[in-house]
Amino acid sequence: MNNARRRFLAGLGALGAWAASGCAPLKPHPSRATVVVVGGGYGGATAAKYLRLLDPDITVYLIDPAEPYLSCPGSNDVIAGLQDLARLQRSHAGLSRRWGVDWVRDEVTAIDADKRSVQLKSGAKFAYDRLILSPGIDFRWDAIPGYDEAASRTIPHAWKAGPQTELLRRQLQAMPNNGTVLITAPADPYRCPPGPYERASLIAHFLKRHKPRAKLLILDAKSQFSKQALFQEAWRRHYPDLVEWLPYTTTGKLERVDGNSVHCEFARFQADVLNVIPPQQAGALARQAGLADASSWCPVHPDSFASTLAPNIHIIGDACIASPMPKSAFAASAQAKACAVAVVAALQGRAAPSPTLINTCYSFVTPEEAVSVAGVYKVKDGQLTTVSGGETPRGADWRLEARYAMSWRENVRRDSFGE
Amino acid sequence: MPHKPLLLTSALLLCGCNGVNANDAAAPDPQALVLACSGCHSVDATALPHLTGMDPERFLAAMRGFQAGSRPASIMDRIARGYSDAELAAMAAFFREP
Repeated sequence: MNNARRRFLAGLGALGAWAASGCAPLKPHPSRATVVVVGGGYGGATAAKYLRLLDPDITVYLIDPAEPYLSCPGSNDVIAGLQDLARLQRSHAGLSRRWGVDWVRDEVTAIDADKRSVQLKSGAKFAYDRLILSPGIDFRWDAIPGYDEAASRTIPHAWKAGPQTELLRRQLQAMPNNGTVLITAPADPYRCPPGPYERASLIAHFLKRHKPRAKLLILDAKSQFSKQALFQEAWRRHYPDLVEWLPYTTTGKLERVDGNSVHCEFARFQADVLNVIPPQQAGALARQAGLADASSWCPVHPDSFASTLAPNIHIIGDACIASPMPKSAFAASAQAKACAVAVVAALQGRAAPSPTLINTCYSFVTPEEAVSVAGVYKVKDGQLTTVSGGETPRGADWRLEARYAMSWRENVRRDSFGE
Repeated sequence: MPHKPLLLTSALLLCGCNGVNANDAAAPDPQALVLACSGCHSVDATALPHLTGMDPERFLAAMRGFQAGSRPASIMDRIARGYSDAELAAMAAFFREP
């Protein structure tokens, strides 16, 4: 077995013995090539690790000012009081310690695609042979009149894990016993398509236990949503008369937010706790670098996740256009691996194989039950295409899916962050 | 982005995997296949089977069972159907311990 395969299997499998034995690529290396990865979420962290796994001679800089990263998967548990925010922490330290990633706690302020360099807030400049961006999402603060960044300080979106997550939890705990929780869900595409409905389910679980006279309404900019039949079955079974889903076809479009009032075309709603999940776009860095198209997301070649708009730059994760893959942590991580394979192949002067990608998104409907959507994706005629997949089938064991979901969370923190 | 059909053979030669005929231009590259598996199946501590070192026959029997719906599953049946026989064979060979 050659070294590449040995390393690779070790990375996939029980890497403990191999990494602990000092065989991990920690030594300073004469850099044949340099890859800069910007953004230390699931996409960027996975890309940095797998670049080093696939070719330890490549110098990999991972640039992100935030440490620890706070995981969005699991953040609905925090909102519902099922776990603490600290459980969402993911450190980048393992990537440098175990995988030899050069981790730089700084912020990229500009990209010079012609000179192939990035400018950092500290004043430093990093040159690259290839640049991988995993910038995540930004909110479109101009999309909903009355709901801008300032308004979000009292009316949380909680769609990036952090202080917003805890603010929403505190508001739910302080809410009157007969209060109304209102969640607004955006139109596609957005980060974590089933997320608003998992959130509704787990908040309903909290309300059922602590405030059984409360109500939860979902005002939806869509007329259908991810895992809809499964969520609605869960709501009938566990939260009858508590959760109500109102698509825009019944309320009219959301027109504005005024304090805790939400005005739709045909109706007005008053919330005790309001959670606005705003419309989204690719992270600012990618848009400012001219890597987004008119949709405000970044078009990429699906074999390599290379930008179609600039050379030597790849975009992975929520910011890129990878439909039919959803914008999920799992998808970002799968794209990161495919991108790492393509980048390493290009730097080694060979063609990359066309990738097979997987996504699996679990959603908890109670603390003990989860449902899922899974897909396998291949590139056909230059487009990502779903070759198999679907939602949790009828009669499946939702408790087993919850165990799988917890297993995925634990596994992916190691797979992506090298913890 | 280079076009893959031209250089697929050289990619296979470099991937250094057992069980794949590098002269067959249509043979799948296991590296492009198995990476996605490690999102769920990898390091200790998980509820799922380790793929590393799995006996190829056991791997293939499980995947064929998932594809046919004869093996109990709620996730792997949906995923297994996305892979061809040739791809599964390449993955089985890759996971086999040396």
